Formats: sequence, C-alpha cells, structure tokens
Amino acid sequence: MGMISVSDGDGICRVVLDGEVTIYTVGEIKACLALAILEHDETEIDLGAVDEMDTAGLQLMLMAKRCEGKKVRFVNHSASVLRLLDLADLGSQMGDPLLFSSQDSTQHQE
Amino acid sequence: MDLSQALATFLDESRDLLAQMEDILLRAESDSVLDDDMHALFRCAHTIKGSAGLFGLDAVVRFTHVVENVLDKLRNLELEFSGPLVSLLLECQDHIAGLIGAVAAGDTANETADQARDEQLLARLLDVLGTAGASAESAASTALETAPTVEATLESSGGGRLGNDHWHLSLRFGLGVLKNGMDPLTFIHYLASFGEIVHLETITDQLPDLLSGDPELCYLGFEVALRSDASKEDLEAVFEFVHDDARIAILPPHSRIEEFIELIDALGEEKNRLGDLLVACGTVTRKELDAALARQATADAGKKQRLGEILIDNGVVQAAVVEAALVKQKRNEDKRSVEAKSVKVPADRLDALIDQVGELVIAGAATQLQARKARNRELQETASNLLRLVEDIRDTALRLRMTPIGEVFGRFPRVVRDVALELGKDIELKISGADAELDKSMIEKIGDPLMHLMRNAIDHGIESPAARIAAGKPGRGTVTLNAFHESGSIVIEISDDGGGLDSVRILSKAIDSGLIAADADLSPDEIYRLILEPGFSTAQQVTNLSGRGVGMDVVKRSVEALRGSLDIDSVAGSGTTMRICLPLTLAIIDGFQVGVGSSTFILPLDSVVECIELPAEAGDSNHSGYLNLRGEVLPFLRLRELFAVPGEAPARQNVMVVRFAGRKAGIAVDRLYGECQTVIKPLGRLFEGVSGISGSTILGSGEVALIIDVAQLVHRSAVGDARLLGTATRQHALQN
Repeated sequence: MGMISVSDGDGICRVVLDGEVTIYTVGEIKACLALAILEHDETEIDLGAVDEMDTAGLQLMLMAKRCEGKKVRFVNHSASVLRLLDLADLGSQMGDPLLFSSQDSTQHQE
Repeated sequence: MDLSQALATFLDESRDLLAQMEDILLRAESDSVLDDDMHALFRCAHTIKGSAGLFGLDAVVRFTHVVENVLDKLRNLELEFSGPLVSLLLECQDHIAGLIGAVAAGDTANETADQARDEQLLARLLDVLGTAGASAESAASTALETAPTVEATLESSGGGRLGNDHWHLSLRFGLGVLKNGMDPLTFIHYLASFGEIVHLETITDQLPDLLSGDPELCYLGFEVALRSDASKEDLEAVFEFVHDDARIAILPPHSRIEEFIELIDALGEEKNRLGDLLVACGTVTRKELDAALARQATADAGKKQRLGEILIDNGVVQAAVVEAALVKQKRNEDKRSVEAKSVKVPADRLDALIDQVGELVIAGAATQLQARKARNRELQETASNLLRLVEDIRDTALRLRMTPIGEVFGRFPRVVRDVALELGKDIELKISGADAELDKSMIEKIGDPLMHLMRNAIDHGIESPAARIAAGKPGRGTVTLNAFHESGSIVIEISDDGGGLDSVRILSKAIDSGLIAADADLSPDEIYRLILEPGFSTAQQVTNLSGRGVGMDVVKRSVEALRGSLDIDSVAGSGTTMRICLPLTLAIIDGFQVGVGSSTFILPLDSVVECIELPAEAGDSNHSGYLNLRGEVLPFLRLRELFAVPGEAPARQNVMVVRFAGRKAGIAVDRLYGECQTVIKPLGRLFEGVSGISGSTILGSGEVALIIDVAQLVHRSAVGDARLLGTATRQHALQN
C-alpha cells in the first residue's frame, strides 16, 4: 500500500511516498498529492521508500510534474523508480537530479 | 481484476504445454523423434516463454529462454537427442512446472532452493549449448557484418528504403489497459529481452493535467527502436493480450519511408512531432523525413491506393509474416473446431441436473404406480413410455459426468520412468483400457491411491535386473495398468511380474508388530491382506519412494471411501496384482427390489446373478450358511436375521445370488418385486457408519427403502460373520 505523508516548512510542502505506487494505489495517492501540490507553490516529493512502481505511478509523476505554475520536485528516487525512469527514458524530461545518469545508453544514437 | 483471469488461462495453458513436452520427451527416449515433434517441443517452450514474459515472470522467461535455445538447436539438427539430454530436458520441464506452480500458489517460500536448481540446470544447459554453439555463432556474426553493406546500397537507391537496421514499434495503449491489469512498461521490459532497445520515446502528449486526469487510465504511448533478430510474429505476440485495447504498429528493419508516413498519418498526431520522434529513434534521418513529407504534400488523392500497392511489394510485407499469419489463422480455426466439440460446464450445474433427473425418476415411478392402481390402460401405456424416456435421460445425464480413466493413467509413464531410473531398475509400463469411463468425481479421488500402488509395484514388486536374470526372467520388468468394466463396476488392475508377496516375511512382521497372534492360522489371501493394515511395511530398506509406513492402509481407506474394494493376488516368484473395484457412479443405479417382512430393500441390479427358491431344508434358521447351487458351494445370509426384521418368515423364501469382485453369495429374502430405478440418497450423518447398507432411496409409493451394500455382504458371507452387522440392525430398527 502506498502511503503518503505531508509536512509543511519554509513554504515548501514535503511529501513522502512509500510502498507501492501502482494502479492499485494511484487513485488514492493522486487525491492527496493534488491537494498538496495545488495548495503550495513548491512541493518536494520524496520517493526513497517507494519499493514498487508501474506505468500508472510513472504517469502520476508526469502529471504532477506538469502542474502549471507550481514547482514540483522529486528527490531521493528509489532503485525501482530509477529503473522505471530509465526504461521509459524519462529521466531527462523530469529534470530532477538523479543519482545516476540514465541517458548515456541512448544519447549517442542521434 | 482481469489479470487474474488471464493469469489463470496462462497457468492452464502452460500445464497443457508442459504435459505435451513431457509426452514428447518420453517418446523421444524410447523411439526415434519425428520432425513434427521437434517443432512442437520448441513451440511449447517458446509459447511458455512468451506468455510468461507478458506477466513479467522473469524467472520463467530467463530459464525457458535457455531451454528454448537448446530445443532450437535440436530442431535444426545441430544437436542430437541422447539419453542424458532427454533426462536433462525432463528435469528442466519439471523446473519450469515448479516455477509456474509457485506463481500459481503465490508462494515464494522456497525461492532459494529453486534458485540453486535454476543455476545448476542452466549450467548444464549452457554446457550442452557450448558444444554445438560455436559454428552457429560464427554464422550469426558474419550475417551482422554484411549488414552495413546492405544498408549502404539501400541508402544509395534514393530514399526508397530506409537505412535503419532496427525494428520500429509504435505503441499507443488504450485508456483501459491499466485497469485491465496490463502494465505497458512490463511489455517494454519484455521487449528488451528480444534484443537491444536502441531508443525509446515516451509519448506524453495525451497526458491531462493533474486535476482532471484519472490516474487509473493510461495516457501514455511509446515509440521504440529495437535492434533484434526476432521475427515480426514474435514481436506481435508480445502484445497479444492488449491487441484489442491498443494501436500497435510494428515496422521491420529497412521499411519503406511510405510506411512511416502512413504510420504518422494513422496516429493523427502532429506530423512534425512524430517525425521528430522517428528521427530521435534513429529510424529515419532528418533528410529522409523532409524529403518524404515534401513528396507526400504533393502526392495526389490516389496515395492510399499507391500505399496499398507498395504494401504488396515484397520489400514491405515480409513473406515470413504472411506465412506466420496464415499458420496462426489455421491454428485458431483448429482450436475453434475442438472447442465446438466440447463444452465446459461448471460441475455444480451438472450435479443439479443429475439431482433433478433423480427426482424425475422418482416422480415417473410414482405416476406408473398410480396408473396401475387406476387400472387405466391408456394411462399405463403413456406412463411406461414416459418412464422409458426418463430412463434414457438418466443414462445420458450420468454419461455427462463420465470421463475416461486415461486422464489418470496419463501421468504414470513419467512416474515409472523416474522411479525406475532412481532405483536402477529397467521397467516397461503397459497401459490398457485407458478409455474405460468413470464418474469425474471418482477420477479425481482415485489418482493418489493408484499412484501409491504404482510406486509400490515398482519399488517392492519388481526385483533388480540382476535378481531377475538370476531367477530366469528377462532383465526388464513389466508393470501393467489395466482398466475394464465388470458388472456395473470398473476394475483397475496394477500388476507386476516381480517376485510376488513374501508371505513368510509378512507373517513374521505381523507377528512382531502384534497384528496377529503367533499361532494364528491364516489362508494365503488373509496373509496378503495384512499388508493393508495400518503401520505395516515389509520393506527391508526404506527408500524415499515408499516404505515409510504410511501406505497401503491409506490406499485401502481411500478406495473404501469410494465404496470400492481392494484385492490382492500374488504368486510367489511371478508377480502381484492389486485389483481396485469401484462403482461407476455414486448417483443413480438400476436396482432390484426385494421385501422382507414389511420392509423393502434394494440390491444393485448389476450385482444380481440369478434368483432361486430357498430349498425347504435350508429354510430352517438353524441350517448352516451354505447352499448347494448346482454343485457349487454358495454361502448365504438371511436378510431377516441380518437386520432383525420382525415377523415370521413365510413358508417359501427366495435367494438372490449376487456377485462382487469375483465372489458369489446368496441373500435370502421373503419376496421379489423386480427391477426398479433407484436414485441413491445418501444416508444422514447418523447412519453413515452403518455397515451392510450403502444408501437409501424413495420408492414410487413414497416409502423409504434401504440399498444393500453387496460388496460388504459378500465379504461378510465369506468370512461367515453376520454378527458384525449388529449395529446395522439397531439403526434399522430406529429408522422404522
């Protein structure tokens, strides 16, 4: 079960996701996440404890990222999140600093 | 979730495929292998791998992939079948079954044990591949080397074909895929196992904003450049489960630019954006794209037709793709025709039908009785017509549940092979009568007891080859599995040509363990039956197959629970036969109605041999329990005494001669009423343990009649101990 906890500080909202961010949990997570993002100018989402993510989870990340006029940042990506970002080759599109660069394998094709 | 349904289908299908693999491998061991078999074998592994990939079962995919490689080499005659290889493949087949089984059970408990086995088997497979692989690999690498030159010539031919050497997959998933339990990225992940993903673009154009978007719908698409030597069929198979729910375009390497243009058109996204994506994937170069778009802009309205013509052009639709499509279509047709021949029906509906038919039979009998009472000839005629039809319906309904016993026999060839190998024995299994039919519910219950008897026959029955040859027998032992119908029952025999039961050893063991007194005087048959006692095992050496002390008594109990009997024939030095005798069904029988005093009893008609009048001199209740039946000694019982039916016996009594499992006995009754259809109603919990009675039924008149358990009575009469039925007597008194 993906859990979500929200805390305020310095005008930045910090959200910690953990457990499963998949089709089974995105509905619930989205509701909380949307609320957090819309009420703050800046949101930082910690993914360190996410141990499972699927396409639905990834899609939710993309949606959050695209919220107009709001700064949304993902930090502390867990290994399973990184694997998924790498697979979908979205690391650069997200624009968050990642612990390893996932683009290397694809860049030279151009 | 729909996924669980799809997964169940996958599990079912895999089990069938694995059974098919086993079948072929076993045949390969004894016979030469046909080409068709080789292909079938390869296809089995291939299909399992493919389907497992869809469900993200990486362990299965990884392992099956290597097995598939070996099978491919066998198929292409780069490897040859040998005894050890077949054994290895059988082990692999088991392992795959284990992996899939673990998925089915949702159990990851023995993952480490599995892993060790995985690695060990993989190492052995790679060993096999290594010996044959060298030549094939060098061939592959030369093919790769020649590729660039092909590319060069194509590019120079003026933009007709593209220079890329990778597949281009354009994937747009339907909104519902996530909800249907499919995860697009799992497909991509699986796709990567076919080769190298050169480039992948995630298409997020359709993604709504956070507020209005439903996170459970899928808005994503993917453009994938994949370098792989897989066939189009293989790649299409990856998306088989989402085919209806997604737009999937798969373009082979060196496709014509027109195809990409068509793809761009079909997807209806902004042309330049998709064009850019294609460039990003390295599928087309910028120059090619610009040229093509320019050409397309000037093209006339007949473009579509032109594209169609191009598609027919051999360069676009690969011949192999067409052929594969045809084969697939054919296979689907075959599958459909098989499906048309059989219908899957939930067992409970069938049970309900049989229950209702049972009621119909009773109602029909009541109608006939009324007609007879009313002395209305026309009514009697229609009533008996009706009853005849009802009888036919009853037979058909019962046949619906009948399944060939071959379903159970099918698993034994492998068991015999494995066990024989483990014990260092050479054993041939002969199966006959696999088409004898038995009620489905009994088939399920008879499997385990049979398996046990089988293992016993191999382990304890058949001697080692050396001992056999020393005894003047062929070194190869034979175990025979046979089934046939006999008087309303099915008989299943398991015979071996081994050393037979050792009555001296059985006796001493029984005396040691206190089962019998040291001075007991037993017939050979009684001695053999000792092995059916709980806790009895004569095996001098406990193997991991049998001889653990749980055994024959469990078999005996399971058989008796099905109202069957277990008999043992054994001839020292030449073998043992275990004979299981089971009723065909547990629902409706043809009965023979008899009366004692004011009570009515039913005997299963199949067990009745003949009816005779009780000789006057035997009418005396002090008379011994034997009759002279045309020179044959026939033990008999008096039903009146057995169930303590009150009242005086009439002057003339009748004897029903019944037979069960080769033994005959007589049952003395007051009156004979004749045949009747009998719907077996189980006895309530209270009467479950009553011996001598197997059930009850309701007569047309509404009265209750008890059904005699002939098997037990015949046994009792042989033992000559009617007193054991004392409990039955009391219970019956209660019921009246």
